[in-house]
Amino acid sequence: MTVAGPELVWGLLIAVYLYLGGMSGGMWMAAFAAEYSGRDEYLPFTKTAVYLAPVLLAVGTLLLVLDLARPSREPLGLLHIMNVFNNPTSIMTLGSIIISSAIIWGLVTAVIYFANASRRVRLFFSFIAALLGFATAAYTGLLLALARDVPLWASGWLSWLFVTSGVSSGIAAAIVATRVLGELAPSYILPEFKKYRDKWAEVAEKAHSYDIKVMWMELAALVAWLLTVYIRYGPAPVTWLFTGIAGAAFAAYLVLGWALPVALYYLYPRKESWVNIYLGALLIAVLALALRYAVLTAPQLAELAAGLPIG
Amino acid sequence: MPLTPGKAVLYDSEKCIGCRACEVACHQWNSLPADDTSFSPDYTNPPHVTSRSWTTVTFHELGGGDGKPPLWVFVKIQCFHCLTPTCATVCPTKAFHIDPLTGAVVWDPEKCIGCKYCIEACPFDIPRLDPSTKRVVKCTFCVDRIQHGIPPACVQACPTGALYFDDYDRVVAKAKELEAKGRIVYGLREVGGTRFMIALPRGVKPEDVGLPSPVTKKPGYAVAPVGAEDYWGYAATILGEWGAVGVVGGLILAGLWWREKRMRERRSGGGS
Repeated sequence: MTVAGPELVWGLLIAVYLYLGGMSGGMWMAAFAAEYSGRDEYLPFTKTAVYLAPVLLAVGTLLLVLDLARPSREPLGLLHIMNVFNNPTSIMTLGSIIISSAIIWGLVTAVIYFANASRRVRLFFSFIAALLGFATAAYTGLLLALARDVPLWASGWLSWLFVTSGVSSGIAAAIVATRVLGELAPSYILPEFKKYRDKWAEVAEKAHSYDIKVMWMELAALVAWLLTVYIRYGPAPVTWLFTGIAGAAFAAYLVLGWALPVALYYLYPRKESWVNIYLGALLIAVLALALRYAVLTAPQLAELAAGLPIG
Repeated sequence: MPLTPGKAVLYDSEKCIGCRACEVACHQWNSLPADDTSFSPDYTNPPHVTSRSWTTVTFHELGGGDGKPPLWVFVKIQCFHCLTPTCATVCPTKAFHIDPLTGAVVWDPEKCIGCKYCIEACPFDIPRLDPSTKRVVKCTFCVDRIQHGIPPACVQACPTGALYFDDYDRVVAKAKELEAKGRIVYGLREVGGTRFMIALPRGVKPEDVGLPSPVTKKPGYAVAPVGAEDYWGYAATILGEWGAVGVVGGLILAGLWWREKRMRERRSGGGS
């Protein structure tokens, strides 16, 4: 099982954790932006993002704990790592504090939205959630970049790639989830969904158009990251990203998770179209995982293939 | 930093005969089980340190051809016991610490939760996850021996005196003597200095024998400006880059947002 571990130091579980961390962070940032706009018809979208984000991050954190070689050492997950007096110099300590705070604050924010608090209260809670969401998404990249010994990760740009990818996949997942919840959820649980039914298409289109703008920023971060690595370490680490299973995952992200949704958007502009918005959003949301998997495993798989110890 | 200058080991590759007595002594003293053996293009076995072999002697055939014999070089690999150890810096549970008496980088298996960050972060590729105990393991510098006044097991077992063990300052002085004679002493300056140093044979460079140079462990890389310093130098580079991108990107986004807002206001103003 080379692809998912256990030969890999960090395998599929950690890739999913990085993916969910970025996506939930992006959802909180998108929720705040939607709330800030002050338009009531965005409420189904905002609520979907606010309800989903803490759940996704909690699932990701659970996967992280499961990936620990000795999760039994910490039955309460990250509590021990969270202790700032333990080792304040470790980025992992800082990250566990950020993630735990984000989950707790995110759950409180979800309750605030469920209780239909006033807009001023919602704005305050979603603003703090967005800050913690940004920190979570940024941390997932910095964790890798600060590992120091893996040239492919050794760039501050990697963190910005994960932030932009987190926002794009977060918006995309929220677009799809809003529609699914709108169709399926009983109106006594989510009354606004039915109330703004005639606005669904307009909101989805608007959110998707912002998402495409973020996708261009994501591409810029991706190019800058690879250029930085190339200048520092030469071509070897970059070529690994185009080799083997990691290469297939990276190609899938580039073609299906970036180029196709962007092409669909420009081919079917300003129309409510299942192909343009929902298929595009679904591809963006899902293929962000392929990016995380490729970035995480490319150097490890290359070392394995070269008969070198991983690490 | 330790309370005393601590201890160090200087490995003289020219004196090493590749007998691997150091490997056997390490296994015996630390009660390590045997590793499965495997063939490799050279005689190195195991090819790198493992969770069961905390030190290994690597074999390198350099040059040769056209009737000339190759230069056969041995290089002992183990934990370098950095003066500023990255593993200790990044470990979230502080499972690594510097022994105050010897300066060795030691680990507490009870604190390790197996997050494996040290494995990705060590510039020398040393820590390994023991699959049976689910803990990260590595060379201990035999602190339990040094505390009782005896040298590390590998040092004691070496039949040719290739491993010189003494106070850190004296070892550094000896290393500098060898440097003055044209030898490269690996570990004297790398990553801010280490307590295990390798005096390479004359004319041999670190990258010739697979040693990270400056600190990019895998062959085939161009010389890297990042990571040649200690961990904090590296972290400052990455975080500085991250912050600069954030500030510049944030200003650009804010500018675009302001422009769009102004244009919207103009449009609505013109319409009224």
